[in-house]
Amino acid sequence: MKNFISKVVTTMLIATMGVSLAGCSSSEPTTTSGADVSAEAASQETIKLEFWYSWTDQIQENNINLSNMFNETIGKEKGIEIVPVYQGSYDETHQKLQASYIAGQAPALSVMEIASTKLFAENGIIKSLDDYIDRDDLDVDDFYTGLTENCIVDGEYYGLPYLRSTPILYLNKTLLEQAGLDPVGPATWDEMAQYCEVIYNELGIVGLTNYSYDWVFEAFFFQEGTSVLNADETATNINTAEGKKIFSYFQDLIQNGYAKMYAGVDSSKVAVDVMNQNTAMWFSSTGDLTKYITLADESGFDITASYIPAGVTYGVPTGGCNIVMTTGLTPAEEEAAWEFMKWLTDTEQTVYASIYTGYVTTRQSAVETDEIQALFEELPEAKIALDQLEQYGHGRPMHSRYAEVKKEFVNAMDAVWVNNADVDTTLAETEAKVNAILAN
Amino acid sequence: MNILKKICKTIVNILLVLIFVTPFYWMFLTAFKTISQTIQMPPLFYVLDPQWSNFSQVFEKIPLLHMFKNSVLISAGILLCQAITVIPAAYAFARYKFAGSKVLFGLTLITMMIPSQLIFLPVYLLLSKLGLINTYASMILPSACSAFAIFMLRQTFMQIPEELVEAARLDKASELKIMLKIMLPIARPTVTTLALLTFISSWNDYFWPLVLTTNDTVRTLPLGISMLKAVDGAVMPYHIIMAGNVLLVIPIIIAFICAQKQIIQAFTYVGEK
Repeated sequence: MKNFISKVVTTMLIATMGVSLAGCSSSEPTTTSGADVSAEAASQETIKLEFWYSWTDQIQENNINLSNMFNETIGKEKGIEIVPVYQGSYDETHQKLQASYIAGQAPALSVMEIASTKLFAENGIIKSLDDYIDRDDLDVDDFYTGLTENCIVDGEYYGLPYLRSTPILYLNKTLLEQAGLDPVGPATWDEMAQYCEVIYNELGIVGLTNYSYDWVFEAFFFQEGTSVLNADETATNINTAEGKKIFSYFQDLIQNGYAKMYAGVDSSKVAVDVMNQNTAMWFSSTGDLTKYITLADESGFDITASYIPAGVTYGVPTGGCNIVMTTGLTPAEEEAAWEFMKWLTDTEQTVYASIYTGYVTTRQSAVETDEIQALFEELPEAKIALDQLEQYGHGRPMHSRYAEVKKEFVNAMDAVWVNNADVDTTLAETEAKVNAILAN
Repeated sequence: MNILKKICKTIVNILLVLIFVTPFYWMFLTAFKTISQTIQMPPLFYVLDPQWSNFSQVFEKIPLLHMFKNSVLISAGILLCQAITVIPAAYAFARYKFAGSKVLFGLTLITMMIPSQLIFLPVYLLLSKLGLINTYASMILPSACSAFAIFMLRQTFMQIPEELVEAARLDKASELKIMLKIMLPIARPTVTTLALLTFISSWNDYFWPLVLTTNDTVRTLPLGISMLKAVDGAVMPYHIIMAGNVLLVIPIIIAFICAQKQIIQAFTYVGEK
């Protein structure tokens, strides 16, 4: 209303100014809306495509570097220019992708958090890649199965694995040795409980710190041989014997002082405890490895990593993002976008991205390369992460309302582990809420 | 008794100052820490080896100067637009009695009660249809007028004695001249305060720039600062974020210091009424 009225008044007054300002800025070289792109492509015979990405830091540098490499080689040869554009977190990128799609200004390419693939595919915003994969005989079986599960919607590929990760168990080696424990870490949840007890008795600190972390929560269910949602994603498995076991296990550790759990909103407190050596074990993404090594170095302790302990089996979800192509491109733009996607996810580039960012390599063929072998030698934890992925990696749930479901899981963890609520009632309530969400 | 009163007053004053200064001190302090110092417990209240490289890292991670330029241009553009729209509107509402003036003024006030989150989608679609996404115009137009400023300035104009205006009219001054040469100088403290408030809110605005930009062409500093915290990981680089914040607030602190006297006057003036 404010803008509606004020605009009626002000648009007339400053129309001239607005036009001149728009004129100024449209001459900026980086302005490449969808319309501009095709116009420019026609005139220069170079197809210019926007590639939206999330996150800054090494991830940003990696995206810019790879885009430049492509532009200077294949891009130059085939007349394609990729313009990498930063958009914020995954959520922000998704929101902007939706908004820009509605406005007809969507980029040709974007990264997409893996659990959102189905939502965007079902809404027709991203394109099925099957025709291109078949035509070019792309070796999709070279990608780890745990990674491609979240690329596929109704049997068709809607994305290719790009910057991917899994959660792993991090260990403060120095503290474990002080407590007289094997720094290899606990292999099972029973051993984990013993580790925590010894650490508490020997060092007077908690053995394990975690927060209401939905991603690791999915791992706990895989380790019990089940999953947070049933196979066709119509109901949750939270209120089952396995679910109760998981909730009670951690509740017992917490009540004995052996473990500490923070609420979902307090996730950053885990790093504080790690840094101040108030905990010996914690879960985090493989992507955090180099950051934790830096922190540990600055503070004078050693860290290592291991698989997340096994219940009846090992098991972890995968995470991170795929690269996707939007719908509504011209055939020439589609062809160019596919060229970039194919190149970006090829062995050589996944090796580059993995070494640069700390994400896992997405292709099995990458492990054979000298660069990755050298990385394993220098950073044995990177191999642990990749082995865990290869043998025990799973996809994440992809229900289009999974974002809401995750919030209910976090609420349940907060209730039981932080506020000591009753396991049975909390799980029954959460089950009812989640099933209602899934049914809609 | 008097001494006791004085001591109490001093203590209260010191406490008040601390409440306002501590967050700033903490921001400056964190900007000079290493990443592990930022999450050290108990926290460090001083640093012996200030990390100046945190600032250079801000420059490496975001196009800071470009975003600074955008912030300046957009804030200045909004100030200019509001000057053009607000002053005549406030003058008209204060001095003219015309049919429907009360209704129009009411409508203007109603616009203050509608949150921008409610209208961002239509505005986004409108600007995108006009092809204005990622242009300065898209950042300036949604804030080109302010009902709050019209209201404040109207109140001030109404306090100015009618005799002054009549005297001017007798001397055959035009309405424009009366508005600019007589009303505005008297209302200067209010105008300065409004200008400063507008400047601060447009300088700090996060929502509109976030919604209305898809690339760095017209992105502003607050978006740049939030880019600093967008790391996919468990360890937040608070030292870099705070270094960025220091660079962000310096212009505001300078603007505030320059306008301080006027602001105090404006509030005293309103208070005396």
